[in-house]
Amino acid sequence: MQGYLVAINENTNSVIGWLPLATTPSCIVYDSSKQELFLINLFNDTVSVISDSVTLSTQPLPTPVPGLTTSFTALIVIIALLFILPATLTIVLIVTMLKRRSRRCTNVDAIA
Amino acid sequence: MARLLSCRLSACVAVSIIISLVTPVSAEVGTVIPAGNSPYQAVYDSSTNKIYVTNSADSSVSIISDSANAVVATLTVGRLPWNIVYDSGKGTIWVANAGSNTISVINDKTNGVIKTINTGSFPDPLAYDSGKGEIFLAGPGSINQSSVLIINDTSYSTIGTLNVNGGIVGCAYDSNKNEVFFACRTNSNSSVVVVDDRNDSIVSSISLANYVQSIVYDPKRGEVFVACTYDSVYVISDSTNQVTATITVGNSPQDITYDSSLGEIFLVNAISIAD
Repeated sequence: MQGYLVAINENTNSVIGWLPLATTPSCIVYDSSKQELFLINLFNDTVSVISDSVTLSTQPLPTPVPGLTTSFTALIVIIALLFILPATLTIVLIVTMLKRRSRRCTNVDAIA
Repeated sequence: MARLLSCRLSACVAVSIIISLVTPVSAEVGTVIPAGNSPYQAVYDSSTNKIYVTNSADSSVSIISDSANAVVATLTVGRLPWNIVYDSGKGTIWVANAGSNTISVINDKTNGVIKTINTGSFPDPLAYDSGKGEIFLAGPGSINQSSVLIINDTSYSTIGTLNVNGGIVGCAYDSNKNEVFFACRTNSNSSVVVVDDRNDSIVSSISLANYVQSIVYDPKRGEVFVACTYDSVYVISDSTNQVTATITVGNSPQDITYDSSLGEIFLVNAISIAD
């Protein structure tokens, strides 16, 4: 799950901007000597270091991404269409061919 | 065979398109430092310019030098080290080990554990009171009530206890007013409980509409910023103990910190999944 960094101006109490992150950190710590932010990435076993002067996006804050269920449903439908359907058609084709061959063999035996 | 490969290629393209649709653009971060197993919380030590990170899954603390941006030492502490606080008066780091019901005290000069304190049960958030040289340890309790241990940072002994309503998820020390702010949750609501450290008594309880997640004190403005789910940060004045502003910050704030150089509050959010 991805996350993002948000900065608030303490005087205006308004959001200055935001920055997308590769993951969702569980913790953020400010280092006053280097003026850096340390982000603790619980799910990645890493710590990211970002300058507090990093350029932030001033676009509207991110809205929730399309739902997980919707995405998975779409994914499953596409996988079904691309993998399962051709596989089923192939099996049906093979079975039909085998049946025809078997019928032909039976006919040849009958003629013999 | 060619048809099968074509099918698989089409599937890969389709999956890539879906992933790109549901996943926002990733940030370019400056440096990424490998930590221990499941790093959870961290604290900055202004005396040694090091970051101490609790690795919750391997009972250790990683010590990161901010000049090298690398782990310079790893210490073994108790089980499930979660919360951590820096005691600037003594030059020590206090680690709450939730899995072993202890606190490990680390000397920041030697980077050795100099004391292990039994807490009785489940220790959680910590706050350092620089005015009195005390550590406030929240945790033992339930979702409806928590007890707070007050520990002297010289003798390492418990000198007082305090009960607050709700489970404490974070605490912050207000050096201007000599008060400790506890962010608390119950099953039905959230509040910020204010404790005067002169007599360790509750002086105010501020109800909040959303569940509290994290709390930080802004000494310049004399305000406390409280990050709450679903998408808000509440600003509380330490003069009136009232909410003076509510800021919409986007989905699921996880943690919050104060940047004294820029006079800014930074927080990290999770991009929530809506369905």
